Amino acid sequence: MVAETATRTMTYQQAIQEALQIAMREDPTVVLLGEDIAGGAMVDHLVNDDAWGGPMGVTKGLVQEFGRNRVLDTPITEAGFIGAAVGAAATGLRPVAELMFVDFFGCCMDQIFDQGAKLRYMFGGKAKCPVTIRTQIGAGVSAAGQHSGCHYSVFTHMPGIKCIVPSTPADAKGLLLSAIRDDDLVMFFENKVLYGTKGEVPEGDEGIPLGVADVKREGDDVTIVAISRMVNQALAAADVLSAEGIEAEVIDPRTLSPLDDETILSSVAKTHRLLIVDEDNPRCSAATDIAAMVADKGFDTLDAPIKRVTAPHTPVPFSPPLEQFYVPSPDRIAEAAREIV
Amino acid sequence: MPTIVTMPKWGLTMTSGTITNWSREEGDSVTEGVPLLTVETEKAVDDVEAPASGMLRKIVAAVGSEVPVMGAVAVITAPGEDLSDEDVQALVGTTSGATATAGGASPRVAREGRQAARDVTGRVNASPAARKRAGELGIDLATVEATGPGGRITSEDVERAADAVAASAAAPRTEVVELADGTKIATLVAGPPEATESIVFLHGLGGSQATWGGVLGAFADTYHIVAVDLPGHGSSDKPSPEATDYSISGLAAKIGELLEKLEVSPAVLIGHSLGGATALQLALDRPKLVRALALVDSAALGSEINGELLDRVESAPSRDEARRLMELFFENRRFVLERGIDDMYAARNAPGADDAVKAIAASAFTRYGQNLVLVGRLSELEIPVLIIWGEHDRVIPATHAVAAVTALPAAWLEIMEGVGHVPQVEAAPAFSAIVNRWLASIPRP
Repeated sequence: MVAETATRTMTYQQAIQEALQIAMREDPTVVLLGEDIAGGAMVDHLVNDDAWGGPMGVTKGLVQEFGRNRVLDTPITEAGFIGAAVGAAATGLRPVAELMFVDFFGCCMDQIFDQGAKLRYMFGGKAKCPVTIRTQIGAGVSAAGQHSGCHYSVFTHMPGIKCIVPSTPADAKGLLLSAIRDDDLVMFFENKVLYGTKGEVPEGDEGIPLGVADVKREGDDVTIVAISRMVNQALAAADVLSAEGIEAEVIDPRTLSPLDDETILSSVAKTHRLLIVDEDNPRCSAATDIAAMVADKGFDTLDAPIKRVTAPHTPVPFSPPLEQFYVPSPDRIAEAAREIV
Repeated sequence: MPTIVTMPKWGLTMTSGTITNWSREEGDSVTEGVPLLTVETEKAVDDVEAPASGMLRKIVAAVGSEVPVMGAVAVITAPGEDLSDEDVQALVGTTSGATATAGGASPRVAREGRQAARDVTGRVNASPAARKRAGELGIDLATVEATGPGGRITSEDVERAADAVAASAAAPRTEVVELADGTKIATLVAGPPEATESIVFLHGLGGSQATWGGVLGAFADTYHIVAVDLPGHGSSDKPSPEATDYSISGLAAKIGELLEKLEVSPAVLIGHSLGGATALQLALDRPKLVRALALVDSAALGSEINGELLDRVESAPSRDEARRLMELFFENRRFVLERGIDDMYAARNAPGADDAVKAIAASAFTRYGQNLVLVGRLSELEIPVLIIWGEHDRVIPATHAVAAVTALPAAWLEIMEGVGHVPQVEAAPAFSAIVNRWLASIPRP
């Protein structure tokens, strides 16, 4: 029995902000870098105390508490500040960089993939790279094809990178604390559609271990593994299915690297059916990876083909009706579940 | 929580019961444990007690309806509970009697089982989990009905098929054994396949294995049970008295041969009346075949016997004669059922039955007493013995039980109060409980 922990209701965005604040208070080497994360605050000639704090205001207020030496506004140059964060991490700081939209990763991929992710390996374990890169993912706000992708599958593919995909405010706080405290390069994917969602968040500075999935709903008839915002879509589908007599178990892996194989496999051993819901593109993706893992390790437990409900293999469309069609809906999830139950 | 009152299963072979009376009306309050309705089966009539206290909200099956075992007969609501007619209907709909879902506890959408799909090579469409489970359980996938999408066999389908195989192995079935002289003996066999201990039941004069119908269920979950139709009775052959030996020792010899053919020896023998005498004779003649003996209102434990029995046996078969015989057997008149009278009359009219019964009776007793009394030889028995007697037995007096225990002090004695000659029918639950307690005390083979 876990001891009762006091909680507060807060949004996903507030939970991330609180985690940053806790991490910065507990460790003076934690610094933030990013475009417009401080804004005009505390700059005499700008006189803007109520600075933006990033495009969504996630870092709002932090510069007032921790000053411009720890909350650094950078030029619009991802290669520059992500590279600076990786270098700072290799030389003693614990930076948290904000890559505004994950779609921009092409500008700084060498810094992430060929430098940060490989430092420990290239130096035979003598170097470490405790950098966290926060970035926004997700379609649904008409931000068009260059600001709406998920792309966590790309980073999951790469060795040396930990990938975190929180779906609730509580997970966002606990996982970000663990990400910052981790000694490796961590990609922290914040779904922009979730920023306003509210939930109970534990008080205190407890981190959630990386690589431990969370069963968001128990059921015996079909396992639904859902990633990031798709957890909410899957839970909505599960309610519909439940009214029809089908009890879905919804599993949130929470981290794609490392992946909690065990929780998924033991659930499939119970339900004998697996459905994976992923907003990322379907080819060489996290959904495909999980499907392959279960086909390999859990073949004898399956009573039906593994199904995936994902975005199509296209960029995110700008047209609102098309964008709505692009993101897996509770209806599509329920329909796929019915096909295999 | 509303409570569904269902048709009970009293005997091993009971599949349905007919409601003959409701003691309460809809809207009446009912108390748990108090008789609520009366049910008649082929073998018995008895009250069904209310399973919960509250209000009798709905009578689903009226007087005269025949309801399958476990089928809904009424709904009781808890005190203060409000239940709409639709809710009642939905509740009752969940109970479909003997067809209630077997195996697969999942509430998943029920799909009709159908023949599994096959590909062009004839390979059955079965899921990986189904193939693995079929291998583990030794189930041939070709025999399994598919409920999965597209005619795919799922692991649950395999589990269900395995349950059905196990259930059919344990289900009561008739086995006919031909003895060396050509006589075919019918037996009702039941019990789990893994059971190692056998119990053989022998009925009384003019009866059949059906006399044990109310008690076999109490043993069939644990033991391999064999309920025999004696030669000249039930579904067994009824050779003419000239062609066979209808004496008690002749019957005992045939039963001995039957036990060997069935490979159930050494067995526990439970014999009623004439069957008791037969069992006792067999235990004395061939002790290796019998590991324990229960004698129920048994013959051959004293000389007295009610002369009226011989009157009934010697008279021409008729329904009235059958009724008088039933009235002689049972202390409680409500066991004298029209259906039972019909059955007894029909049995006496079966070809050869009347001659056989008359021959056996003539050999076993006269109007002045029993010809065979084995009390003096009881001390030869080196096996556990149980003597059960109905206190008010008007065919063979309960004093014989006392004489038997005096002769064999190690025997276990049970006198059943308020019961006549056939305790296994008149007090089936108590009878089963006694025998099970005694069985538990017997050293394992």
